[in-house]
Amino acid sequence: MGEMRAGKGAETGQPRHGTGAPPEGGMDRRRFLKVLGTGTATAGIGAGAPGAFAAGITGLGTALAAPRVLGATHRGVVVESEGEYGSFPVEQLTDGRLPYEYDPDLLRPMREKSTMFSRNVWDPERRNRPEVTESVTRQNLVGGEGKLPNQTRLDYALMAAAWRHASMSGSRDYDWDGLGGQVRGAGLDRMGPWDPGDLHMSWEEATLAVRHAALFYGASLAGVAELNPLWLYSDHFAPSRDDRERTIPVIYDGDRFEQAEDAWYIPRSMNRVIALAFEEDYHAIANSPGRLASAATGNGYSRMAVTSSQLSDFIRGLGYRALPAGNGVGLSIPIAIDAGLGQLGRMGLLVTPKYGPRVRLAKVITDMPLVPSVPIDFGVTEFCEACMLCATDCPSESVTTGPMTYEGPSASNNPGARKWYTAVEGCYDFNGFSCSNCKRVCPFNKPNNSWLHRLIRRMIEGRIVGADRVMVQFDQASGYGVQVEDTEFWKMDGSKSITAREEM
Amino acid sequence: MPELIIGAAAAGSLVLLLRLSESRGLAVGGWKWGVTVAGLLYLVFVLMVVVEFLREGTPKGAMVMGTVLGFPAVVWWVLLGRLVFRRKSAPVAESEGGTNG
Repeated sequence: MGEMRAGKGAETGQPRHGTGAPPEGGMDRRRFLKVLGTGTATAGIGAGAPGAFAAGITGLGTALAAPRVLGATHRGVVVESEGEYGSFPVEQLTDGRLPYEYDPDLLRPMREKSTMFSRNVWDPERRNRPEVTESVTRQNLVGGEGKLPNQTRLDYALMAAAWRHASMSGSRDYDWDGLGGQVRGAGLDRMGPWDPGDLHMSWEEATLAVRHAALFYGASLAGVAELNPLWLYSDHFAPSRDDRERTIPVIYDGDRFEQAEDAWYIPRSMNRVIALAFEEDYHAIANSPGRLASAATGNGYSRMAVTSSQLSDFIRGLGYRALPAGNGVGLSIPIAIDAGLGQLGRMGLLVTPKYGPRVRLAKVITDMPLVPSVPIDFGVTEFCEACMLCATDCPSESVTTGPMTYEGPSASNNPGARKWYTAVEGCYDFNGFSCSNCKRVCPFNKPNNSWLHRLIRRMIEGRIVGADRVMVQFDQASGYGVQVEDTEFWKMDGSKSITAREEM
Repeated sequence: MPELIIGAAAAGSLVLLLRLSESRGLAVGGWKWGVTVAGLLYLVFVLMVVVEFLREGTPKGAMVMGTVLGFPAVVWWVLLGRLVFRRKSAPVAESEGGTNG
């Protein structure tokens, strides 16, 4: 699977090309501009969005309206969808390509033990770092008597409560076989696997229904991908009192589906994954590195837990297996890219067309035979090469200003994918794990409520040579990306806050 | 609402320019009107950009982009005023002869 889905360079043995300008498959700028200019409303034929049922779903909300096809490219089609892409024209890669490349000889499933969260538990270098003993909370909240700007008691209270469901979810919400809600009571689990044909629906329409359910339960974006086993962790980090470094293998094989003592078993039949993205509040992120940004982060984590578990119960109610996960089980970002939610940015985060990097991710792995979404490319790689704002504004200098590579500087980097690797230790340690500066300054972060931003997005997607750097200069000169004081946030009319529910 | 005001002002400006050219007896050709309308549309665009920045709560952006985009508009209109809509003065020799005679 890996070789099949790598870039064309891997197949031919030729040097690899970034997504920046793939000569054999990339879109010629002039052709693209022509496509944009001559695009007409060829509505109703968006990939994976069949007409009649899509129209019915559209009546319930704008998020799943069929994308408007603007034209064809060498690699697929250019589409526009306010609900999915925030009016960003994106190229759907319908020819099977992915908007990233990896070396199949180098890339291996990552060990969960290597992640920063795990290393903080077992790695002596991480456990003894000064940040552990020096409590930022104590310094800011207690020392400042709750009055420090952007670290007030009001801000801390918002942050602490935002993490509520995330803190509780470890053992409950991400349960593999928990039938919560009324699934068992209603007897849904005893009815066998649901056949969409019973309701005269195709599997495309059923997929649309599942994605709609995901949005209904609180996701901001939802896509489906065929599960690439490379993105599953090879082990589950399960420290015990006696063994701080204890791990158990994750076995993706056979038909066993169980969180056993000796291993985690995921059957091969669970070959679909629903990627979920949760928008973080625009104005709260703008407060980074203040506490409000951490509140937005916590809110995202809580919604991840609630929504993925509810969606899993929904799928179980239809008679299929479901495995909800936040950061666990596997890597959320490549899964989300495969599911067509966005592309990888310089800061190492998913950049979505609608919300930029201002999202949190979760996923649900299932054996429900859903129809995969189409990966997209909307010029992120080219823009990130020119922009650099996330790197230059990173207070811990964790984001690189260098080129893409196949290996990173940190023990928590998993080598093999061609990307910008982040020195995650510095990122984690800065300000008590409370920084979203890279999201705050990212030009893709803008809300979708202005025709100006839509115009700029067309220019970004158009890949006009030299324009990206000029746009970044204007972005900076215009005062975007600066920290918004908490006092301004609290003065805002909450109903006008940029949220996932906002009608754009 | 700002869009309506800008649109009305642009339409009003065009009418004023028409009357101005008539009252001054200027023979404004087709291409000159083309350049004038283009200048007017550009000015509308600049004002719309400024309004959009202000609406979004980015006054700095309104100022910066208003200045950057507004400068060509000023140059454009100064040139139009001098080259197209300026009253033609009478020939110097004829004027002097008239005074002395």
